[in-house]
Parts: sequence; C-alpha cells; structure tokens
Amino acid sequence: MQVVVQTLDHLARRILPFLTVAITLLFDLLPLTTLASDAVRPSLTIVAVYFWTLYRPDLLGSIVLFLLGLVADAVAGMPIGMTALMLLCIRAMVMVPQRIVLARSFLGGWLGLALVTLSVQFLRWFLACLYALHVFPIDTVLVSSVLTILCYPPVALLLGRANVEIDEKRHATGN
Amino acid sequence: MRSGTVRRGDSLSSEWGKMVLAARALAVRYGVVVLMALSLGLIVLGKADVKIYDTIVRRAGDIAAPALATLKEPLSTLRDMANAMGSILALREENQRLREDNRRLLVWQAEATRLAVENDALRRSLKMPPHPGAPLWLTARVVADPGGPFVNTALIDAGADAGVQNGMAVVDDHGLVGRIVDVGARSARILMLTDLNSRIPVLIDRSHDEAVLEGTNGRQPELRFLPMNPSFKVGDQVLTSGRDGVLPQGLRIGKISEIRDQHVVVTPYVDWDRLDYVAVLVRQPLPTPEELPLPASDAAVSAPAAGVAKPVERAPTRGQSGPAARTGGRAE
Repeated sequence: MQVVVQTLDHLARRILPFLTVAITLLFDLLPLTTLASDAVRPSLTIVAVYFWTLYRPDLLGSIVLFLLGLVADAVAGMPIGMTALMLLCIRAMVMVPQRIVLARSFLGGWLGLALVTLSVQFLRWFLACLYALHVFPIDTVLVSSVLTILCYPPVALLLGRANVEIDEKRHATGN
Repeated sequence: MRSGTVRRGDSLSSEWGKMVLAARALAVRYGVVVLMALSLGLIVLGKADVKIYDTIVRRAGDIAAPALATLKEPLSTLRDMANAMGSILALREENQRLREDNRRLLVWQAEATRLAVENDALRRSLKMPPHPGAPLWLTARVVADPGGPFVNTALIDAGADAGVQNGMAVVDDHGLVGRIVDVGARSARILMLTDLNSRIPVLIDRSHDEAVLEGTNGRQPELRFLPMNPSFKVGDQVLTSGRDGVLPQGLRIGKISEIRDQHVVVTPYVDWDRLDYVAVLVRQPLPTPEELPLPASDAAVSAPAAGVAKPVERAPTRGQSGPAARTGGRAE
C-alpha cells in the first residue's frame, strides 16, 4: 500500500510542470478584466513554459508542449499550430548550454524571459500578419510582452516553490 | 554452448539498448525542430480550410467549455467582490443617479406606450402586417475569450444541443456583441463585432445613412462603404440594418465617436471587460408572403378574386423554435 502511495506521490510531482502550464493556459483563455486597453493581457503560459524549461526541462517535453499548444489554439480559435510553434520556440531558445548561467540568478532568469518573450511574441505577430494578410498593430504586442515580463516575479515565486517540492522528493528518494 | 547463447543474447540486448539510446538522443536533439516544422505545416494546412479542422475545433470547445466554466467561477466571484467593495463607497451617488434614471425612464415609458398605440393604428390603416415583435433568446455564459490583437472571438457554453445555430446574433444588456460562427454540441464560438473578419450592415439612427461596420481587431470598429453625402455626426447611434438577412434589424451597436478623413470610428456599447453572460437571439424564419396574415377587410376582398376559399394561416409561431428549457424570454 505504501509503495502505491509513494508511486502516486512521485507521479503527481512529476506532472506538476505539466499541470501548472495547463492551468496558465486556461487562465490566459478566461474572459477576465484586461489590464490595458484593446484586450491586451500578459501571457502567463510563456512565463510557465520558460520557467520549467529553464529549471526542469526533463519534466516538460517537446511533445507535451506541442499537444498543449494545439489544444490552446483549438479552444482560442487561433490558427492551429500557432501556439504550439510559440511554445516550442521557447524551448528551442532556452535549451542552450548557456541556460545554466541564466538559471543561477533571479535577474539572469528575468532577463532571459524578457528576450524570449519579445522574440516569440514578435514571431507570433509576424505569422499572424502573414496568415491574415493584414498588418496587426505592433504596439499591443509590445504592451502584452511588457506585462508578461512584469508577471515573472510572482509567477516564478510560485513555480519556484513547486520546483522545491519536486527536488525535495528527488532527494528523499535518491533519484 | 549455453554460455555462448547467453553471450549472444547479452550482445543483442546491449545493441538494442544502444539503438534506443541513439534514437532517444536524436529525438531530444531534433524533436523540437521536427515538431516546429509540423506546427508550421499545420498553420499552412489551416489556411487551406480543411474540414477536419472545424471538427477538431468544435470538439476541443465542447471538452474545454466545462473546465473553463468551473475555473472561471471563483475568479469571477473574486472580481465581483472587488467591484462590490468599490461600489459600496459610491452607494449614495449611485442611488441618486438611479432615482434620476428612473424618473427619466418613466417619461420614456409613457412616450413608448403612446408611440406603440399610434404605430399600431398607422399599420392598420396602411394594411401593413403586424410587427414581428422582439425575438426569442437563450442565455449562455462566456467561458473563454483569448483576447489579444489577432482574434476577437469568445466561446460560450451553449451549442447545437441548446438550439444555437450559425449566424445567430449575440447581445448583452448593452447591445450587439457579435454573431455565432461555429457551433459544437455543447459550445459555440462568437465572432465579436470588433474582429477583423466581422462585417455588419448598419443604419445610423438619426440620419438613416446605411454603411457596413467593419472590425479592426481593436476595441473600436469603423464604418465602411459610406453613402456619397452622409449626414451623420459624432454621437449618432448605430443600429443593425438587417440588410444581410442574418442579423435582426434595429439591434443597438454603439455610437459614432470620431470622424477623421475617411475613418468613421464607432464605440460599441458593450463592456468587453464584463462579458460574463450573453443572449443568443433565436433566429426566426422569415414568413413567406402566403404565410403573412392579411387584414380582415383585405382578405374578404382579395380571397374570392384569387380563388382562395380559406384565410391564410399565420407563420410558425416563435415559441416553436429553440428548446424551452434554455429559452429565457424575449429580448427587450
């Protein structure tokens, strides 16, 4: 019985990154009050995916990101593949040897997020313009990026706590 | 002999293990690139309007709608509580404003009653068919609204099972929100009037100028295809004209807020930040000329001439369409 409980506990901790990204995706889709005009909102999903790819890339694989992105696009009414591409781009940008340097300090992590957010948001804007054959206003994309970057400290604090939980379990089991 | 088999088996399993490890290393190294290429391919395929995409999107909406509705509830409650705290402080001023509004609306009510009586009398004298009345509606909850500059759509938790159909108008208590563009079994997607793909034939209330309201993906859509010498001005109310045969006539949309060069900007009445519940107007089939009731005097004269022995029956009643369980009543 104890083994079963331990296995379930282990599983629950391993899927924690997936669960947090799924919740942020749902949160981004909810019709809540916007923080700025023209329906501009921060993207908490970018922050969550960036955080887990930086600290625990083994627990949030490419296929999971791809599938989550497809579901998000289908629910949001966006062209299928747009969010999946964005999430995979975050992973591709973060999964470099230099990420160890970023992960060492909070400020480094924050700067890295700023770079990643601006890059993927600009890529999404570019693809959306190509898809719709219409030039969307870039200022809303910039405002959304700034809001996303400002969201990093509180979200990273919460996810950092979850990361400690996973690590504690890893030390306890010796994995 | 025996030890030889074991050795061969060992080497086979180690080779197999190496292959698995190599495949895994390849997947880790190039998996992201392959999936990124796949995502790009899906975006391109989506542009080709593949039918299976619609099915996937509808299914995803049906599955996600209950989860989103559950997650939204506590967050909406928190937001409402924060708003309530603010409104308690302004209770005195609000009470005074409501009293003033009530006094003004009572005057309008008396005027509306007088106009309705006068309108009925004029219709009878002109032998016009009676006014169809306000359409039926069903209430739905907005469960997803991705926001952002690229799409202005929202997901509601009522679909084909509740009687929602493509093209139906969606309103809230302020005015027109948009129309239904995609229907699943338990969810439907609204194309907001601010979306880039939204085109709505409209009528300016005061000047009777007709135009097309086009979404810009911002909060303020613009009027296009304006008449040659328009006489509207800032502050005029914009209504649906019903020219497309899809949206009902006379639904409030917003006010003209700015006129500069060829740009006529409209500010919708809808509060996009508080779009919690909406009403989907159940579309009524237009009655054919044969189905329209004739005034008694006219029927008595024309029926023998046309060789029709019995009077024409009324068009199907509005109560027959849309499930009664979800149908809330008539839109005001």
